[in-house]
Amino acid sequence: MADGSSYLRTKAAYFFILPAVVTLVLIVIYPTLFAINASLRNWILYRPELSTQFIGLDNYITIFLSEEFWNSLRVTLIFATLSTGLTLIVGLAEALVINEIPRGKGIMSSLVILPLMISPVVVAFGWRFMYHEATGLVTAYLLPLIGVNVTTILGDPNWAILGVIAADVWNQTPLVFLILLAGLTSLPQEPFEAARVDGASSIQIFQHLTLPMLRSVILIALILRTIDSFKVFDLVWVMTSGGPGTATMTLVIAGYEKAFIAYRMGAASAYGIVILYAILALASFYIRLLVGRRK
Amino acid sequence: MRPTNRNTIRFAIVYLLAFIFLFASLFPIIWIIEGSLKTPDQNRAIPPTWIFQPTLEAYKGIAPGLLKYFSNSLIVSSASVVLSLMIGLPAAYALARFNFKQSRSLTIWILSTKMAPGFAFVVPFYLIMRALNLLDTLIALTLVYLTFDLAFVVWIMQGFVEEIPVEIEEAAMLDGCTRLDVLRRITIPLVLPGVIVTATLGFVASWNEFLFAYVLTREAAVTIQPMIASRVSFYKIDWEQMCAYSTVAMLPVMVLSLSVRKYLTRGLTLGALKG
Repeated sequence: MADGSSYLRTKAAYFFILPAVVTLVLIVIYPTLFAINASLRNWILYRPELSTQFIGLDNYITIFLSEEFWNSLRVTLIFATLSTGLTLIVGLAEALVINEIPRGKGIMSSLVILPLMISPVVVAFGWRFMYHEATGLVTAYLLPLIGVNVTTILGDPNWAILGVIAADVWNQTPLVFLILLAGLTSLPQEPFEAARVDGASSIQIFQHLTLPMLRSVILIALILRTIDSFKVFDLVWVMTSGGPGTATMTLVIAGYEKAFIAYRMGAASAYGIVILYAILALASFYIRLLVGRRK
Repeated sequence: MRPTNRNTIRFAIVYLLAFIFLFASLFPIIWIIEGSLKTPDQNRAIPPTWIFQPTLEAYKGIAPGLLKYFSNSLIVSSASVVLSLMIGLPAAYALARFNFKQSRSLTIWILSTKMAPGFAFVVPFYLIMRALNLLDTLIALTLVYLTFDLAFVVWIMQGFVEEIPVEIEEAAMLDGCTRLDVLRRITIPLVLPGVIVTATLGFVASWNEFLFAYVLTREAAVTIQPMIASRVSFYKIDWEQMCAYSTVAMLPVMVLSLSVRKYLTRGLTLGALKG
């Protein structure tokens, strides 16, 4: 740089950054503080006479003592584990296959990532359409074709979570695919050529070269997907609203019901803060990985 | 077996597998679009109807009233993208180009904002907008969408700026250009593909957003996603019309993604992997 004094450069930087910082303070920091404050109060919208009385950590204590919270945590963990695991496996397979295509890799990638562009609401509807009891493509045609007979998927407490996970895997696999494809294309060619010359089989190459060299990108995809599946709401809400019973009641759905069905804003804010901290803890791993890669 | 033969078989298998992935990715989309063009009987037939005479009945049914939801979505998504580019681009440039004390913690802060769960903000925003009398307005929704759009713009554009060699800018400044000249004539044209893909992804994220739109709107400001969601929950679903609504909601996003497809994969990958 035409070496202006570092003072000038810093001043210019603040001038460029200030609008973004001010906006983020107003729309991120302020609502967060607002939520923390609200989480310490007994704030019930339809009972204004209680006038948002300060109750300390009661809302948090109630959450951690409630069976509802632990059930929704369990559901979220099942959802996150299965959905993350499956998107990783399918996405890895997809990236390995499409990376091998000699021609048309670009157009193929642009087409297989389309599910990622579609809103979870539409995805949820589309899968409900296919899961429809008597006439849905999956329940009434495909599953019987392979000898599985279920009358209902989303109405059955055991099947519902799997049905939701399948839709999520379809929706989110492209993200893993893209990350792993980028990882694959950036791998150096020499070790692979050398291994082939030495007569290594494809499976050996995959196991001893590809997988270890992809480790860091796989880890990034894993954390990103885990964070995303902890945040899941739209898809599950539109497919099952948390039901049947509480079979698909994820953390965010439990919090949502506190807020906008029970109108207990204090308790709901506490849910929000708990979820926020859980996600930020996960995110700090991811950020450390990325900042480590930077330099 | 001769090596050429072996290659042919290998490629045949690779293409076959690739087409299976392609089919699985596109099938549900096609199934929804087909569903919007079928009659109720065709949609309920088992085994399914594969070949049929398309009908536009469902679209005729949803046409009245659709404009409101569609234009609400369009206004909110465009406004939040334009605002976040205006505020975010200078910040991204500064974070990429200037080395100052807080730049690292700022980057981490912005990245955390990008990861934060919408639910943590939806309750305070509901209460704040309620107090400000802004519930059910497009302004409220646009402002709220800045939470993720802005963080996204800063994060991803920082990556695009970093990819431009700083030497180009330095050379122009040595030739007597001011920083603003450099920005206008060199940096902005070079990052333009990045801006396009960022705008596209920001638009798609706002267009597809559901939770805030569901909570913060009632009637006047309802966008296309909560409109679809509230109809799916009806006891009796009109599948043809729902497929038509879904098609209308998907099409702009798919057309956009395919028209910037050259940059899209790079933008998405950069967003996740930049480091």
